[in-house]
This record gives sequence, C-alpha cells and structure tokens, in this order.
Amino acid sequence: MLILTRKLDESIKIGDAIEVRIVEIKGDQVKIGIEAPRSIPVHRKEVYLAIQKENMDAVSQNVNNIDNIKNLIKNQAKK
Amino acid sequence: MELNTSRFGTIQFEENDIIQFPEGIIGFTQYKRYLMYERPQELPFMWLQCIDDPSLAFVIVDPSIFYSNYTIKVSESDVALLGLADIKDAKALVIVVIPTDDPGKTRANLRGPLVINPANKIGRQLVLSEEYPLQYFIFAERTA
Repeated sequence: MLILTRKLDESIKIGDAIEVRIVEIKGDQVKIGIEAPRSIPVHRKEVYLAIQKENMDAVSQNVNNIDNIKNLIKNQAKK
Repeated sequence: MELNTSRFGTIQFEENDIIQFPEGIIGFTQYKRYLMYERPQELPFMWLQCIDDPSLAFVIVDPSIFYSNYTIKVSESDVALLGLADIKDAKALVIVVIPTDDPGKTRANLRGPLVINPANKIGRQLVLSEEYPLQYFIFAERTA
C-alpha cells in the first residue's frame, strides 16, 4: 500500500479524475472529501462489505424457498 | 431469446426485458445483465435472474409490501447514472434471503436496495447509510 502524509486541506490526485482531500481532523476522526466521476462508486468499506456478504448469502437459494414461506405470507395477510 | 437457467430451465425473453446493471451487483460486479422472472404462484416475490451467469439469481420483492414508509434518498449522481428524468419513476426492490432451514427468519436487505429505471432498464444497487437495516426480518417484525 502506498502511504502518503497529508495535512489539513491537502489532497491526493489519483489519475486525472479522482481527488481525495483531508477536510477536517478532530481527535481520532478524519473527514475526507472525495471527488470522483459518477461512474466510480465510493462507499464506506464496512457498509460495502456488509452488503456484499448479504448478497452472497442471497444467491444460494433454491426454487422451493419461496414455497417455504407461503404459509407465513398467508398468515401475515390475515393480520 | 432463450436462457438456459439452472433453476427454472429454459426461459424466454425479449431484448427489451434485459435490465442492465452497469456496475453489477455488489459482490458480483462482473455480471451486468439480468431479467426479472416472475412465477405467479410466488408473487409478490420475484427472481432477478442473471443472464451472464445462468446459475445466479436473487429473490427480490417490493419493500413497500411489508415496510410502509420505505423512502430512500437517491443522490444526484445516482439519478444521473440511472438516467432518471424524475425520481418518482424509479422502482425500488430489495434482495431477500429465505433461510432453507428456518424460513421464518426471512430477511430483506433494506440498506442495499436495487433501484431500477423502468424506462431505460438501467439498475443500480445503492448503498444507504445507517437509516435502514441490512437485515430486516419480514415476518418477525410483524408478529413482534
């Protein structure tokens, strides 16, 4: 991993299109501003990984799985 | 056109049915083309069947069926990426996990909704911040 030291308001350019700027430093929190093309999604890593894991859990379902919850749906509809 | 799927056998579709996810679905970013596959007996649940990998499919549902005030903020850049003229045109669907051994624990991912523009058939999985749960238990929440 490339490691660079930056101060408040200093930036890093990644290629032509991406800029990462240190916007605020407060205790153990750093606020970072990111400018990137719309086509490049930017996410907090832990949230991204959590959604990725949930997606992975979702793909191993077989065709009977919806049948398995049919009764539950009916019960719910009655409420 | 025909697609030979691992779950549903051969399914027929039109070019116009193809939903493009230009960035893929998170964790499956190499696959871009999907179909909505409905089986009447399973509604309101549907399948999002991948065209590029016929063994890949997600169970999806319209979250408004079980979560009445599910409103998501779509950023300007997402609106542009989806080519939406009006945000009201967008359709939100969420991915569902039905545990085979415990169907009562069926959960929906409200934090990573799929937003689709029905006009141009472009979709995107959004990543919302903390306001909605990653795992919303559809049946448990109702009975609690």
